[in-house]
Amino acid sequence: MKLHKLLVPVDFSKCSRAAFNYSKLIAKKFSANIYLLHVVDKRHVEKIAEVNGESEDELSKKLSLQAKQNLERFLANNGSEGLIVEKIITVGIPFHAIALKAQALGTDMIVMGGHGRVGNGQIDKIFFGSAAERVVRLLPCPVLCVPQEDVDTEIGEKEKL
Amino acid sequence: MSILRLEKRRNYDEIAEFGDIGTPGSCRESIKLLVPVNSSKCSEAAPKRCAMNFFHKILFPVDLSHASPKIAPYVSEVARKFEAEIHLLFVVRVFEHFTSLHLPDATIKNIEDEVARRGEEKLQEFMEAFFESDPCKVKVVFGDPAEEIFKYVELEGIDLIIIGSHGKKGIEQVLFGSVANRVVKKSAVPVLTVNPHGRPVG
Repeated sequence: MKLHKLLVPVDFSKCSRAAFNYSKLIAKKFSANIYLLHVVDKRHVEKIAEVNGESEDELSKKLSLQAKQNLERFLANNGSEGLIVEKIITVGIPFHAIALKAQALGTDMIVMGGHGRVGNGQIDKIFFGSAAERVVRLLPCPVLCVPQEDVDTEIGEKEKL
Repeated sequence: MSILRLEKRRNYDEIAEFGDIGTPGSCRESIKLLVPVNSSKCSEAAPKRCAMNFFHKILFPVDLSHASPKIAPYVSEVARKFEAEIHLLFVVRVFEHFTSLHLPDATIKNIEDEVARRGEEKLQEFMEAFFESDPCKVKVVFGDPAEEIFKYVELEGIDLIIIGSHGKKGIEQVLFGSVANRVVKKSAVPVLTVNPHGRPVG
């Protein structure tokens, strides 16, 4: 099995942290590289632009910059351990952007956080319950879904990236 | 419930400190060192927690459809990498929901038993064909697939599920399997979904 490229979409939530930690383990085991991806939700950009009158381009730039800082902070808090080869920030609709990136990179596995008994996670938001879920399900590469950590660790740590 | 929860909690930072995460053995040793440091919080759950970080027991639920053989190489590969034990599970769907048809109990029981018997044979064949050189256990159970998978995970201390994303039913190349869907949504352990119609392995 070829496993060189891991795509890890992060939304800086607790569950994406769990996924990231798992991806590091797998990357070490398989000597693979990690591609971190954060998608700035286009729909949010549109809505914000509508409300405060800024142009969408400007806003996208601003949010991407902010996301970049968040990503750096996320890495500083979780340790990159030299496994990350690329940090990607795109603007788009999450599931679509992830699918496109996976295809473009020729990703061997996607590692995502989500679900668990706690409630909605990344996967929930991105994969399920949308009409477009089929697009993601058609992805040819395996997807590792890491459940969210538990309630007690969730409380009070939510804000910590 | 609370104990269960503690067991399920993962803690990566602590393990990372001990560098070598290579073999299951070394991992267990390092946890002994960890316990006193971590005694304030659920120390008895620590070994389990460590075990949950690395994959020692992999569950591969099979429906014995033509999709299963396509996923087997992934399972075998991952298991070898992590020196993990493979558990094959075949769930016989029970026919309780046919009771409104007023079938005599005996008939239903017969069918179920027959399916289980054949399932067991097939599963054995499947294991011999794909996992001959791997440490592997097989099990046939009755019930609802997703529910039984969770029960098994709990019972055996499984730490990774590898499941085909598209199974038997429907327009199989397009739709995500209903079982896979439910497993991904509710599982307490990581789930690797593999698309049997995806890129070939190797």
